[in-house]
Formats: sequence, C-alpha cells, structure tokens
Amino acid sequence: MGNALGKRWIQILLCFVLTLNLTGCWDQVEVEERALVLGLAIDEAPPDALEKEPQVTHMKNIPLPKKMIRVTAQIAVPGRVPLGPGTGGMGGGGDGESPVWIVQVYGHSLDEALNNMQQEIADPRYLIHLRVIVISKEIARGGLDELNDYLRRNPEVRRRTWLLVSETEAAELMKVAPPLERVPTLYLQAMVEKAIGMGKFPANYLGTFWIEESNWGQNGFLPYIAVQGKEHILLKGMAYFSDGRLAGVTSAVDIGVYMGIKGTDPGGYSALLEVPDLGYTMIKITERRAKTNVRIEEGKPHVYLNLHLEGVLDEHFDAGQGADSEAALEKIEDALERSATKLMHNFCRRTQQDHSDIFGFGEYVRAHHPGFWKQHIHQKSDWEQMYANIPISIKLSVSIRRTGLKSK
Amino acid sequence: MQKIEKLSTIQLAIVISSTIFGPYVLSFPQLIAQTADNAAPLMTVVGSCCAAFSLFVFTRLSQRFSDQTLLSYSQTVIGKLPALFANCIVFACFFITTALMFRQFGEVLSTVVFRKTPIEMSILMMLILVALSCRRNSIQFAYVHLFYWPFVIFPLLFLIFMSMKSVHFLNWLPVLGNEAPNWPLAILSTASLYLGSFIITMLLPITEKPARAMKSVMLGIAVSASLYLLLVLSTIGIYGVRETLLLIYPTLEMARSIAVGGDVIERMDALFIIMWVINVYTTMFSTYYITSITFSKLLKFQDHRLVTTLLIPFLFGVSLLPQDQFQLYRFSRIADESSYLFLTGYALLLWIVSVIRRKGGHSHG
Repeated sequence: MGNALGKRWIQILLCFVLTLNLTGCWDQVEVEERALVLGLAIDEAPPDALEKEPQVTHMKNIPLPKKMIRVTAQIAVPGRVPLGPGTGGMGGGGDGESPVWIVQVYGHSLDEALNNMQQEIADPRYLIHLRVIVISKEIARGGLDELNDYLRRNPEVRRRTWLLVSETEAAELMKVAPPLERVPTLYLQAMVEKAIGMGKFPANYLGTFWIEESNWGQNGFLPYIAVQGKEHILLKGMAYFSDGRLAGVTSAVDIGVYMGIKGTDPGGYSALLEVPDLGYTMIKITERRAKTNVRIEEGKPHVYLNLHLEGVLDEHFDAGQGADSEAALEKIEDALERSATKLMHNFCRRTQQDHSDIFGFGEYVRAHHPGFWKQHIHQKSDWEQMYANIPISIKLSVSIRRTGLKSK
Repeated sequence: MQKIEKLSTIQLAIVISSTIFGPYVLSFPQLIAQTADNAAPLMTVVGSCCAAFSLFVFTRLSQRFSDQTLLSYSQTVIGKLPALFANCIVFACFFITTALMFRQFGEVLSTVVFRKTPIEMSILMMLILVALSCRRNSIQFAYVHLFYWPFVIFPLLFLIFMSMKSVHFLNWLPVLGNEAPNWPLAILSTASLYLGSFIITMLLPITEKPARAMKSVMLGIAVSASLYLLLVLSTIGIYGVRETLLLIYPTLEMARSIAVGGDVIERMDALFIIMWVINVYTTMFSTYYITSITFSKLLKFQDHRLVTTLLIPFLFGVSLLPQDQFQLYRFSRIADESSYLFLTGYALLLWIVSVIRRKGGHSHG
C-alpha cells in the first residue's frame, strides 16, 4: 500500500522534474541575437585616442599600457548575409544593403577594445565565426604578445583563423568589397585559402604561426597583404618575425623561394628567366621536393639543402631558336637552377640578417643534435642569434618534363 | 545452486580498457610534456609498463582468492584490524579521486562549452547519472562498459588519424628529450592514469575463467596504453613540446584545429567533447562503483545501492572544495599519484604476505 503511494508521488515528482528539461539549454542564445564578428582589423590608434576611449574597463587615472590600438570589427548582420550563391530575386539579402556592419573602437588591448565595443552594440559579441584578423605593420612591429594571449585564451577563436599583416591601414581591408564575394572578410579568407590550393602560399594559419613562434628553433611568418586601388587586395609576400616582432617583409617571389626550400607541394609559382641563346622562358613549377640535413661542423650547425623542382615550360619568346630539343631543355634547367639557387641564397641571407629562422632549421638541430643544442641554446633568442651566422649550402636540381602543345 | 551470469574474458578486457581510458585524455599530453619534455612518448611507454606491473600484481593477487574481493580476503591475509584500516584508505583514495574527477569534468564544460551554466549544475547532472548507473550489479556494470566502449575508442582514433597529416616528425626527436626528463614524476604521472585498473580486484570473482583473467586485463591495458601513446605522439607531433606546454587541453586543441572533408567540417571540438563526456562517464562509473562497493563492505552492508545514493552529497561537496583550477589540478595530481602508490604498495604487501603465509591460492591446493 505505502509502496504504491510512494510510487505515485515519485511519478508526479518526475513529471515536474522532466518538464524542466523541455526549457532547453542553459547557454542558448538565438542566432539572430548574436553579434557575430567575422573579421577584425587592428591598427595603431591616433594620439588623440585616449580622449575618445570610453571608460568601460578602467578609470582614467590608473597606470595603463602606453600603446593604444584601434579595432575595426566586421559584424554580420543577421538575415543579410547571403546564404549560398543565389543572386536572383529570391532571398539573398536586400539590394544595396551591406551584409556586414563595421564598428570601430579604441582600447589598450584587444580584449579591452572588444569590451568597449560591446558597450556600444546591443547583441552579445561572439568570435566563433571570426575568420580573419588583419593587423597593420606597425602593430606587428610592436609585437604580438598581447594579441596572441587573448586569442589563445578565448575558446571561441579557431586555430584555423587567418592572421594577416597589412602594409596599408588594416581597417581599409574591412571595407573593401570585391565583387566576387558579398562579405569582405570571406573574400579575404577565400583569397588566402585558394592561394594555398594553388601552391602560392604555405598553410600558415594562426595556430601554425603560434606553433612556429613557440618552437625555440623556429620563427613565425604571416601572409603580407596590401590594398591596391579601391577594391583589389594583393598578396604581397611574407611578413617574418623575430623575437616576437615583425622583422621584415618579402616580395611574392620569395614565397615561392620559401616553399621551394621547404618542399611544400603543390608547386604554384612560375619563374620568368632569360636563358642564354634561347630568349625568355616562363617555367611553371609543379612539384617541389626538399631534404634538409644539418650537421655540426667546426662547432657550428651547417645546413645542407637538397632540393628538387619539377616544372613545365609555360611560355617561350624572343627566341633565336626553338625550345625543341633535350639540349634546349637542359639549358633552361641549368639557367633556372642557377637563378633559383641565387634567389634562395639571397633569401636565406636576408632572414639570417634579420635573425628570423622561418625555415625551422633550428628544429633540425634540436632534434638531431640534442647535445649541441643543450650546450648552446638556453632560450629562443639564443638560436635567433646563432642562426645569423650558420652556413647554408643549397644543392638544387630542376627537371622540366613537358612543353605544352607547341612543338617548337 | 542458481546459475550466476559471469564475465567472459573479452568483456573483462573491455571493462579494464574503458575504465582506464579516462578524462585525462584532454590534459595528459600537457602533463607529460611538463615532466618529460621531448621524451614524453618514451615516458608514456615506461609509465604504462609501470601501471601494467601494478595491474599484474592486482590480478595475481586476486587470482589467489578467485572467489572473493580484495576487501574480504585482505582480512584473512593481514588480519581484521589492519585490513579495516587499509581498506578505509582504499575508500578514501577512490572517494577523493572520484570527487576531483567530477570537478575536472565540470571545469572543462564551464571553460569550453557551457560558459553560462553554473558548474554545480554540470557536476550534479553527471554525479546523479553516474550514481544512478551504479545502482546495478557487477554484470550490468560490465554491460554498460561494453556498450559505450566503441563510442570512446573509435572517435578518438578517428581524431588522431585525421590529425596525423599535420604531424612534424622532428617534434618526436630526440627520443630522450632535450632536457633530462624528471623520471620519477613522469612515470608516476603516467602510471596514475591507470588508477581505475584496481577494479579487477572487485571483478575477478565474477569472471568466468579467473585463471585466464591475466591475459584479458593485459589486453585491456595494452589497448588503452597504446591509445594514450598515440595521443601523446600526435599532440606532441603536431604542436611540439613548447606549444603543448601552453595549452591546458592539448587534445581539445587538436580537435579544434582539424578540418574534414575539404575543410567543410571544421571545429570538431563539439563532437569531441560529446565523446569525451562518454569517456568520462565510463571512467567515473568505475571509480564510483569501486568507491561505493568499498564503502558498503566497510559498513558490512549486503547491498551497495543505499551507499551509492548516500555518497552523492558528499562527493558533490568535496568536488566543490578546490578554489581554482590550479589548486584543483595540484590536488588531483597529489591524490592520483599517492593513490596509485598506496594501492600498488598495498596489493604488493597483500601478495607477499599471502605467499609467505600460504593463504589462498588454488595452486597450493
């Protein structure tokens, strides 16, 4: 009897408890009530920024970091971001209305600036869809410690986000809207990612950059971009770091050189070169192979690079004779070997002068010569110093296999 | 005599492997990188061997008394009072480690997934779920493990293989580490991952062929140990030691950075967390089970179900004791490692004494 009654009570209680489950998730926030940040641009703030900054996270009279930054955020406007390629009359967002909203704020750090921004916008900000962060050259020169710290801590940020260094004002990149993509940051992202697919840039995501910067025997690099004219974005080269700060930038050719040294596939760059007796040729590199050896010689690590490039003849003009024989191809191969080796040497030299081992040769020393490493390297900067003076030998071979449909 | 269902050899192996493969999956690579530097994979192997030795001792000992649990035969081996005292410590070990594990579970959820949900809610939900499952007998206990085991193993294997392509082999070298590893600490922190293998002392009496239990428990620990090793190899291989040291949950970061199917599916961390919750559940199920069985035996109860329910508020209370995450991890390390040392020492003592005093053991007739 009592048992049955008890059971009844438990059943009634269960009804109430289980109803609570229907209310859904504790953390739920509807999509249209989120301010989804798609892209961030970080510039140095003008001198009068201190006055413009709202007092959200601090009062004016406390000691603050001297440097101030200006953060430009691109926020997706719910309902206006086009889903899929539909450009017809149906859906796809109203015409003439921008799918994103640009907000600009000042702050002493990224987190502080984002907090200031939150004070200005109604919906809670989310970084879960943050795809691209652009920083200006000046910010990169000042070091990325603070930025990396916040992005690492925040679980919303993906490790596959892109961090780009901009030659021009970073905020501009949030505004350029090329016709290929409705959302500016998505264009930016697509640009870098397609460059990887075409072998024009190594897959160096934010996460990869962090790893490179953490390793003692390696330095990080980032894509270096610039705005050309009104709505063109140019992948200009690489921005390489030393001691956590921007140490130098390269040209786009050097990206190919870097990828040749690292043996990153697929090959994507073409080389224009003048071959003696044969005029000008364009060689498209299709495959890269690299073998790195580091030996300790005379108390110094000596880097031996054994590289191979596979290419096809893309174009040939201004010629005295046709590129129609093995001998001609060999001539071209020789010329390319010579000029590419020179480019590689120059490029290595330059990174050595800037103490930036973006190739990670130090990691080879650490892995293969732990005794030497332990004796000489006690912190990251030790390797940066040593890298400047190590000899690098490059042995490059080039094979050109095909010449296209033209026989002469 | 009524027919009692018993565990088969393979079932036992699965229970062991699913028990020891636990919540530390998330933070273990960082833990081992701290103490072992680049020698992390090597230290994982050595530590696992150490744990396998403990498991060997637990099993050999239990095989001598194949129809009783450790809690009963310890009394015949070293006497009632010392055994009572030692068993109290066994209870304390599992009580504390279980409570802290619940808290770690809550911490992960609060940091990564449910950032607004109070941590008490996440802990309580898991606690009640585990407690309810524990109100079963040993056979049902084993079946629960059996059911969830594939959900624990395969997603992790999938994750590891997906991320293998970003492994840099240089990060595995040098095998002995750039810095000399802190051997005792590295071995101990690895070995203490396998604390749950103590469950064998409770399960052996209900296995079908106790004589063949050794093979199955070794199979079980081998499966989990190789998973731990794969995990360390892939995280260290991808991130390198320096970066791994910066990450609280390196495995989770790994899940966050892989992309599947032409970069269409990104951010696998949500999926991974789901798998991890199951993983945590099976492990805590075991340790909770040990805790309540031990406690009920100490109180001389026939049935452990009442105890299971009684323990809920106490476990909940203890799990809320650590003030912050650093304190929590420090406490957990101390609790896990000292528990491992104590349990191994205790089992060794029982084994040696039982051999000397010729207690138990069918081989002696």
